[in-house]
Amino acid sequence: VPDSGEITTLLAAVRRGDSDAESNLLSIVYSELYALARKQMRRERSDHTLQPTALLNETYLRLLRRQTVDWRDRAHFFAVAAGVMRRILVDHARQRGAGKRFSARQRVELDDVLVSAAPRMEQLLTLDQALTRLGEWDARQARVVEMMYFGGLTAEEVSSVLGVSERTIKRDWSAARAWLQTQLSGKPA
Amino acid sequence: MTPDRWRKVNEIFHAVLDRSDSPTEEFLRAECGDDPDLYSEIRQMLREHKQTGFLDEAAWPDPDSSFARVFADGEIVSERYRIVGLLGRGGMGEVYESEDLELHEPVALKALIPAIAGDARMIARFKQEIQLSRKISHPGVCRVFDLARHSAGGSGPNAIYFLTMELLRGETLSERLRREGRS
Repeated sequence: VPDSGEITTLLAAVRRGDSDAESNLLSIVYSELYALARKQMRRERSDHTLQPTALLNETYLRLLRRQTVDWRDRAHFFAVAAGVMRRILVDHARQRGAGKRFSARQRVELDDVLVSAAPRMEQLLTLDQALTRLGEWDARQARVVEMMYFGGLTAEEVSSVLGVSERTIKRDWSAARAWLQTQLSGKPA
Repeated sequence: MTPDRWRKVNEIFHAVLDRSDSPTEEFLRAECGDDPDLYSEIRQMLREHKQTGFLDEAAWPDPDSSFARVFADGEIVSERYRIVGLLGRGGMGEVYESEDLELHEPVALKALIPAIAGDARMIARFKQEIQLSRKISHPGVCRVFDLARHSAGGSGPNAIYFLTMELLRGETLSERLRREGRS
């Protein structure tokens, strides 16, 4: 686990717009979240519910324990982490592909807990592509979707993260959601 | 689509939604003027807006419930209760509908989830729950019958504690709150 001070420094650099710092932070958060998700999956059988917000919070606490973090850094952390959650899901969908068969043994692994939603995988890839396009027209709306859908944050949380009113976040979400659905519903489920 | 065009789509989309009770079709046509693509784009979005879809499901799946459950449907627990189905799940336990094969009556089974099943404090709390509920008899309180153990593949640490209770049908508190709103 990287040192908390290092993360704080990275976060400050991300806030200044340093893209190298952002990709460093991204890879740290990615491996941390991934390891954590794996660990959660290995726990007792009935504990297998993946709660994105719980995962994000735990990762946040692990990476930044005992550090007093500026709320704007906290906001950036959550924005970055929600993007990572998206990548984790989409990577799985891409690697595993839809319609593949899995043995009983494999199903116990984390990968396959995610894959238990196999029919959704193709739609997840469509969503990811559509979301990337949306981000080209309206970066904030795409981040709102990332945080709410992939990160499990509420509109209120996103509002405090982005420093925009909750009403605006809800409007962003409803328009983005409606358009993304039009992209999804054209595809066979 | 360009950022400008997308902004326009957003404006009209929200303008239509904000005019809750006036005729939308006419308004939408007027707003879109002689741009049929704009019209059909927003028309589709409005249709999706009214329907639930992919984005309303959790991105992180709650894995297949048969995989995570304590008991499987059809399983005979303690040589007496046949599991009919899972009714609900909380932080401590899962509640199943089952059939009492001795008395031929439906009962509810509440089992501690395996993650805490071996925790002595949780088992003590579980037992306390029965002792307390035996002292109360009220139509508003679910009756608890007994505590039993089911040994899954042997004895000792693999035993699963469960309660048998009156089977009550209906919604959960959170469903009720969601439906009626908190006051």
